[in-house]
Amino acid sequence: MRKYISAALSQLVFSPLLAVVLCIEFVVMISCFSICYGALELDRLSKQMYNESNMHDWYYVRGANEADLVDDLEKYSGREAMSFEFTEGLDSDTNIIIYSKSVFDNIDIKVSKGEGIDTERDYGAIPCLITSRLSEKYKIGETYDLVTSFDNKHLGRFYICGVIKNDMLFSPTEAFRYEPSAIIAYDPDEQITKNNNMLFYVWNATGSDDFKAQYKEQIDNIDLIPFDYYYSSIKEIKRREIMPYVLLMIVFSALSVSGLIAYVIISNTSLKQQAAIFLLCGAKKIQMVLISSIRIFLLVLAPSLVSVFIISYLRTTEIGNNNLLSLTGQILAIALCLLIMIIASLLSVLLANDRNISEKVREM
Amino acid sequence: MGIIAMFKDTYSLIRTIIAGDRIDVLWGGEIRLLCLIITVFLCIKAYKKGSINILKAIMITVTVYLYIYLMMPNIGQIKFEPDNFGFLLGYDDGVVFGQFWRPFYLMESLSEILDIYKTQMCYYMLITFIFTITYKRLYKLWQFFVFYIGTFGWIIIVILLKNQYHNGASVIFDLGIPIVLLPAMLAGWGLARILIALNRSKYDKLQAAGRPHIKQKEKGDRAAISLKGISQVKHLCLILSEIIRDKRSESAVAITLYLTITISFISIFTCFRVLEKNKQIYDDIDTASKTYEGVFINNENFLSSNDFLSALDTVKNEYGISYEGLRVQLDEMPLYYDVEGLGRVDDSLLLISDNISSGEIHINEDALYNGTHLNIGDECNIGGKSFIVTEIGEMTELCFNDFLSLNASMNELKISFDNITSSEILDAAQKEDIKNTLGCYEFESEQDRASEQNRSVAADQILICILIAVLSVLVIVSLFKQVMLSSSKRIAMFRLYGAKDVFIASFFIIYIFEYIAISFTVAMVIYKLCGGVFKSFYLNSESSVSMKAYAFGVVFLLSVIFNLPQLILMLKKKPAQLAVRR
Repeated sequence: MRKYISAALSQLVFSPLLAVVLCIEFVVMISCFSICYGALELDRLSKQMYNESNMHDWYYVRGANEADLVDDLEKYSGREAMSFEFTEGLDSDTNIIIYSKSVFDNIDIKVSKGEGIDTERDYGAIPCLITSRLSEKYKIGETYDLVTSFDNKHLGRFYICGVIKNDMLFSPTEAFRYEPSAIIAYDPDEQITKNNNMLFYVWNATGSDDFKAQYKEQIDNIDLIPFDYYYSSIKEIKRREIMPYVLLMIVFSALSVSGLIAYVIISNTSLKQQAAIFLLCGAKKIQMVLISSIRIFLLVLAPSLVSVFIISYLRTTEIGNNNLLSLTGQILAIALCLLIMIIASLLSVLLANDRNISEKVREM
Repeated sequence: MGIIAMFKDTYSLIRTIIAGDRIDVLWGGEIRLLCLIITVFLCIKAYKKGSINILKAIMITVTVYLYIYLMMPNIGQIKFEPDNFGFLLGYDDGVVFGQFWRPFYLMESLSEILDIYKTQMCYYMLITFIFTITYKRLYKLWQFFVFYIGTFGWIIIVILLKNQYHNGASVIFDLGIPIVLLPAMLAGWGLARILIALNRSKYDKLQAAGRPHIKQKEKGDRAAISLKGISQVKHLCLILSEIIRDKRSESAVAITLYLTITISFISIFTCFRVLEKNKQIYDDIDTASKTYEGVFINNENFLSSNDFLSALDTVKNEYGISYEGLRVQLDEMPLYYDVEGLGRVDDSLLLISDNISSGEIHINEDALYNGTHLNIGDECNIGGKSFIVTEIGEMTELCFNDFLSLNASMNELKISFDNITSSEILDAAQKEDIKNTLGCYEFESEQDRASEQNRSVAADQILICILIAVLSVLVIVSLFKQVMLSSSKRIAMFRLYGAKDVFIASFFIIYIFEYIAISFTVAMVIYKLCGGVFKSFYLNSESSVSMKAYAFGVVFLLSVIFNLPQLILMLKKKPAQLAVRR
């Protein structure tokens, strides 16, 4: 096997510039694919949460007297409204959102690692769910004393229950939100030190047939806003935002494919003499095809590895703050590159026919 | 379109180019003048060489002029921006036939047809008559029909392509014309044939070659076939035939090259379109040039509110400007809103002169005063002065006079305008004067801001064009290297027959140009056909033709530059080094 790899490497070196160009094109393609697939995953997850929790009948409670309206709603139905309290976070990027019990009863928060918060259980500290960026710092199942980064104020003792799947949070202001750095806490005993907190309410009107008639005035005055209004608007905005990345992905895929085909054509034409020498020395055609395939595999492997580092870097930038760079998408993109590689190898098999090689041997 | 009109159009185009303005439309005169100049140039050359005599040269020029004067007007002007309209003249036969008139079928009598078309029939009869006499190759009937189909066929194709490009019937064509004019053209041709038959000797004299007017160069000891003696046109034909032969022998490389270059162009156009969505485009540029939104005042320039209002009056009188939404905010503002997600946001006072008296204030229904909502009749203290609430509505409004008497220094006030509108478009000096007089932080019209933004978008487009072009050209260069290596034997043959470096260099440059030109055309067609796909991706803004032309230029230039080292290497080699063997 070693001799095949060394032969493939020697063939790879014959056109280093072209190989570098192809690497760049593949890297861009894989990165865009990762972003697009991440958007697709977020869209699917939000749709799943929307359908499972029947958010079609949910309302955001707004208006100047929302506390009174919430009291009225609770008296009317005998149920508790969902409340979301934003409080001072760890730093400027990390918010702490305190969910009330009814939120956990109404929304099935998806976790990728660990488990969800059980509101009946006593954790001995404030149970919380964290997002992926924080999971690099805080381990699941451990308890931490969290302090603010700017003035070292103690916020409370937090028990890390799990990691939120795809960092997708239910937002009390804009349907669903991708938040790479956030903490969702359940604090029934009000242990968290609060400052500059903001309170939002969401009402679940599922099962109340006469709700719209009963609260027609509030709905008309926009004191109660249907969740669907925000959900469809935000979906439309997100779709528009992701479309350029989708196009870039398609464009760079086309460039990569055409570049790889060009590379195969050029290399096969230029390496005919080498192939002729191999044949004269007793190599079989299948061996030459294997060398060609390994060469193309190495050509595709390099950008796949580079893309891992590029995407890790992108996660720390503005693109990573606003878009999910999906690992699944990255793997799928690399798989697609391998598929392209297989097609290119087949092409090289077709081009390496006996007549071409024998002609070259005769020329020599 | 007369000669004068052609010159006028050309002059206006040159002026536009020199001024650096955007070329939105070619009126047609430039193209016609260019055709005429090329014709005259070629006729003079042919005459000097002795291929044609002076009379024929004049007649050729006349026929070309008649053609572009009478026949090309159907093409009309060339617009580089998509038309905003599309109509199908009442027919629902789809985009192809809907673009064409068919009044021919709507006409009730022959006299009606003659009435409409008689002038054109005369013109076309005359043109065909002159063409038949001038050109030997129009003598036979089948040759006449080739001329007839060529006359109208290419016009129809161009119109179809134009209307496809503009997504609407920007040019319409009367399909009745080729049908009605056929008899007239046949008549012209027939008359010319009769005239030729009756004056055969004079006709032969016209068609006879002239005497050459150039010195014959001394022939060296070269072979009878020498590349030195052949004309430029034959050079070009030789190069093109060699290029076609090359493609047959290296078809895989040729197809890959076309594919790579076409995909590169499509990628560049797509990136342009993606970036184009960030551009700010106004339907009414005139209004956008006269509107200045969000103007904030630097109060340090004024000692008192009176000073500011005097400056405002000065500017109003001098430049005829008007404004909307003159707002004042105090540092210590007791009126505020409680905004979710933001917290306390101070209210601003909109200064008005109508429907309000001194000592009164209109309050926004959502505004809070010391934590509570105000009602009509309540009293509030703003800027050290008491006001009575007389209206609860959409805005917090205050009278102008009360603004002057507020107990707050200019440093404690923030003044801004929602927008300022001028009656005329202001030049840079006038804008600077208003900016200094009013003490604005910035005084830019909406069009200025959009131009700045659009300039940065254009810069991004150029950058991405260069990036993709460089990536693609590096692939193209490797493919061209193959092409050059496979052409080495042919180059050796050229050298043996006396080809100079210029010829060989032009061979490869034309080779590169041909690939890029064909790929560019195919890419444009594919890109245009995918217009619906882009719209589904919410990319509705189309990039300009000049940008696409820029992409063509960049790719071509980079291809030539990157291929230069290999080309120079080929030029330095002698035929033996290029492995020519018997």
